[in-house]
Amino acid sequence: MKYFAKKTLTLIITLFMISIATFFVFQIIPGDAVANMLGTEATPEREEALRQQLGLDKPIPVRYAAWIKGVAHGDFGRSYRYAENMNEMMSVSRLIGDKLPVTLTLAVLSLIMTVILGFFIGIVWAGCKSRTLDAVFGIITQGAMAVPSFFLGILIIFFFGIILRMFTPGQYVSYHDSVAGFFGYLIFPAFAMAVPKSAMAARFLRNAILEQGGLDYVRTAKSKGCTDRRIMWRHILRNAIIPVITFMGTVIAEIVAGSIVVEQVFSVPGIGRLLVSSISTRDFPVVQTLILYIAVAVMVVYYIVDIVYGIVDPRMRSNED
Amino acid sequence: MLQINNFSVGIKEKIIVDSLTLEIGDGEVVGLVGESGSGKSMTALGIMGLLPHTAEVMSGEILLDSENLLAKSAQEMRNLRGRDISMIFQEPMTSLNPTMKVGKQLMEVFAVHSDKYLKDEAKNKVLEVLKSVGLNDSQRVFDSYPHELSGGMRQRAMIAMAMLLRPKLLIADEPTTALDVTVQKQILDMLTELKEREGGQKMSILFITHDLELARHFCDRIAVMKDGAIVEQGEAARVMDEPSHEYTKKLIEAVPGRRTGRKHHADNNIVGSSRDAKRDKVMSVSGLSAYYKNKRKGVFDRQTLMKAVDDVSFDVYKVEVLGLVGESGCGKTSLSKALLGVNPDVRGNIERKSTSARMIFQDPYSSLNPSYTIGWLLEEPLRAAGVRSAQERQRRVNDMLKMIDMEGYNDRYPGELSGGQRQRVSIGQALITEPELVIADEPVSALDVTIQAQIMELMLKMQEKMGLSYIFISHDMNVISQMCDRVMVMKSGSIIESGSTEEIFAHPREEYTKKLLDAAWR
Amino acid sequence: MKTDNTAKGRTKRIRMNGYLTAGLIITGFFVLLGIIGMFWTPYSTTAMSASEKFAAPSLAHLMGTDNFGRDILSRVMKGLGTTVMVGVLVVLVSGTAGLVIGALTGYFGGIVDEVIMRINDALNSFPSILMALVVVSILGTGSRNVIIALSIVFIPSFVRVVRSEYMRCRNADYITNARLMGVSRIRIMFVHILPNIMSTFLVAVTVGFNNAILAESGLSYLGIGVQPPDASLGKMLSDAQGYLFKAPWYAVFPGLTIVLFVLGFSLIGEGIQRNNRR
Repeated sequence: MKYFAKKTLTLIITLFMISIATFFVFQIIPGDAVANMLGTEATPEREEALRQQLGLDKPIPVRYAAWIKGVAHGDFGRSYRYAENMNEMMSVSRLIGDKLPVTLTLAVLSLIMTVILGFFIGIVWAGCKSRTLDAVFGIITQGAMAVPSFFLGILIIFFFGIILRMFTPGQYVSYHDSVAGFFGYLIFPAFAMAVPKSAMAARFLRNAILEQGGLDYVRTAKSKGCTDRRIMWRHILRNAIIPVITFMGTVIAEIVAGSIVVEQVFSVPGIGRLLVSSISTRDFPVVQTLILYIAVAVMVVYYIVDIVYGIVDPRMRSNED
Repeated sequence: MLQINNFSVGIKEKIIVDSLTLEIGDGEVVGLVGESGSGKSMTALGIMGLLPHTAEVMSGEILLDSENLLAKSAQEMRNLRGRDISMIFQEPMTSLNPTMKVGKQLMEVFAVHSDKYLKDEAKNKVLEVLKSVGLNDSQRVFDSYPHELSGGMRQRAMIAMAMLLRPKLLIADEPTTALDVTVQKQILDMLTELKEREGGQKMSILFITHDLELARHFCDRIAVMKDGAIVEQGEAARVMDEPSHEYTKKLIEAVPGRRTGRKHHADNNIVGSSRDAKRDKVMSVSGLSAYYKNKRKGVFDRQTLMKAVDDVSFDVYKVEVLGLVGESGCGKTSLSKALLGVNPDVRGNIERKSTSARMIFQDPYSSLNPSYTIGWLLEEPLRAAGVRSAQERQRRVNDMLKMIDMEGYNDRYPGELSGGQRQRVSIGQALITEPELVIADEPVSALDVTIQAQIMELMLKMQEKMGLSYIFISHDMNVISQMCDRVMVMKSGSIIESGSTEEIFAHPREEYTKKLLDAAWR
Repeated sequence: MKTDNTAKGRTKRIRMNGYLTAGLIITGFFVLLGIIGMFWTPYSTTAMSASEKFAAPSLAHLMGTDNFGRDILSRVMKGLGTTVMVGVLVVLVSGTAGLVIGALTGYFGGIVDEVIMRINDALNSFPSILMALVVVSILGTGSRNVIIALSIVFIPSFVRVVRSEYMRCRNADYITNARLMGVSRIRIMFVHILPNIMSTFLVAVTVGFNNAILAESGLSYLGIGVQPPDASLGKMLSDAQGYLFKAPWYAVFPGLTIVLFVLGFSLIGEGIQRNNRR
């Protein structure tokens, strides 16, 4: 139990560090955000007024406290670029609100595909005895890993969109309009992300299986009279899965980051696309919030991975007391 | 019961087992003895039908109750394994599945071999067998993961697994080699007992070992294997006392403690008392305690120290071999590290005449830097010692290569050498700067017996030539008896007994020393 | 430090294998093409020609032309040049920094090591493209900032690899032995240990190259990396996406170039690893 408590404590500390890091990193940005916002209408008086309005005149720790308090209440400040109406800028949380589920769906879809594809290929590959087939798997996965997701996305658009007409490139379907259409569209960007990642996962799993297969306990299982299938499913896989779990943490983190690029390719209005456009327009409250979101998501993923790891590997629980 | 006829196995054109013929009778214990690479483990795997994919059976038959195992299908062999033939392996630490509870792994034998098995009944049987192998706390063992048990307990669990279905034949491949000597003896005694207890149905054992003395003690008959073939077999006592084959003689000759090779320096026999105060001391240790750091769990945790060596005092004299004996975890290695100044957490006093102490390590595969040639490796200590002239260094390297019988190996890499050759280089590396004292930490325990003998001979030869002293660390009383002038026995960080080798071996005072000597069986 | 005999002792022959050969040929070809592209291209990379808009691949234009009638091969060569430069500089800076930090922390250990590693692990757990985005959003876009961003972002992964190798070696008997001989710490770190971790480090370098290439082209594709007039394969792809139907070759050639270049490095890495295993 101590293992889990320790991991939880680590998560809390890390999240705290991340919040500090995200806040301060955006304090050292060159160029005054206020001057930036007002543009040509800038006068010293106006700047001063706006600065006070935004609370930028207070010392940094106070601003951090105010910011983190806001974050805790779901208030991430207001965008510099997007207007709510004539008088007010749009609040960041509203701006992100309907984009978050899109990216989340995309990432989860992609993860499911990665796991299914990766495990299937990895297990089949590890079990194949022919040397030619082994080499073919090797070349295919090596190739799949070398394709950047945006190029793969373009290829998918070309084949599935333009030639096979299975979807209309650029015509994203909102889940408000049609849930089926929404998934029907997101399947393709998810697939673009899943291909290289599942190749990585397959290679990793295959190597882990082969490594485990050579260990002494497998020989013991054989000497007991276990069938090959029993050895694979009850003995090898359970041990081979342990390093794969850790590895999946990295894969999920990369899927989250990969969605930034893939949303751009497929014109999916998720937070990745918003992040890129906000970086281009230097809309820092939005950038800051999105970075915080993604960082927290990544850390939580690693936390979950650690927990699963502890459940699967009994050595973890008792060794690290 | 088991009859192996003309059995041959090859791997890639190379013959690993060469026309092996061997018979094991009902209830008989047959020892298969040989050095590493002699093909004894391959023979065992061949009987089990578990040869690696690269290996190929070239000829012969293996008859179990006059049924040829080699003609059986994979399915038939699976049914046989664990039921009629069982096997226990050398490595208790890794032979159990680390993510499955021990009990479940034992239950699996029933799951595999009986069509319908009743869980409760099977569990009771497992608990009973666990008790019979000396694991009295059987319920706890049943619910433990392997990493929660000690090496000896795991090996017992392995044996329990092998015995569950009362096999006709048990193959034991070096079952005690990885264990401490005192545990070794317990395990073998227990195996003998189990065999006897089987009553009506007699179990036969094929006992594979590199250790002749162990085989003599445990087996009815012994077969000696070399390069894949059996060179001699017969009654255990006969083979040991009147070996007929040259190789057997050589093996027996090489067994440490058997030979009378060690010529003790006349005056060394009376060391260890104050009479020797006049003699030159190379090193003098008083009140030495050494600690090691517990691994800290976090940045802010307090560092705790564990005492590994507890208030130890002794002297090392010029031109002597001082033995240090004890089981793993007794603090031998911590002591040697403290003596060398590698461990910073030390209390007490170490006086050394010169700073040049060197070390010879146990594992010849990790004690030489694999990235450099033998010539470079031998030269490095000279460079570090500040010998400026390259010619001078080269000359000394060549001299040393000659002395360790490795002439012409200048440009070879450690990876190209055998274990024995590597150990020679290690000795050369330790001695090239002509130190007064060398600490040798189990320098021969990773080697085959014949190589062991050569290395010990070399160490003694170098001692005579260079007039140096050794602190010789070992767990093996036989090796100690052959090498050392004086012996210190170490247990739980303290030296509990010391004296001249003759004294200790003839009249051990401490119970623990007696136990060690007893476990060595000679 | 005298190294008179050191070089001789170190020359261990590199064993070739299929992966290594194929990888070296592919990588060599593209690096060469990129270096040539920095100085010379068959056509000007900026010359537009309305008459030759969307010309399909032909002998005159091996990879065809784009929406402004510019020669795609020339632009691919130019973009490859940028990629090679970014990759080399990033790996050089982050690899060297990673090697030094990893060697020191791994060899000496202690509190400093633990603190550095906690931070390092936290940074390392974030995908490199995300970290690069953060740095770029602070520094701004452009190839110089991309190089700075990626150099910083890739240091932790090198530190991690080098450190764990040094920790593994630090307790090896042969290193204890060298310490007993009185070999200096610096010499132990860089003469005794370094050659033993070299192959692992080289694998990390090939991975680093791949990640640098992918990150640079990714950022450029998003429009926040290398900026015009510098050519970039990623930017070409994003331009080409609008003309997929009309001129598929516009997207295919820059894309394939990235894929093969990355594949070349992966093969080299795989080749080194296979050598090690034996």
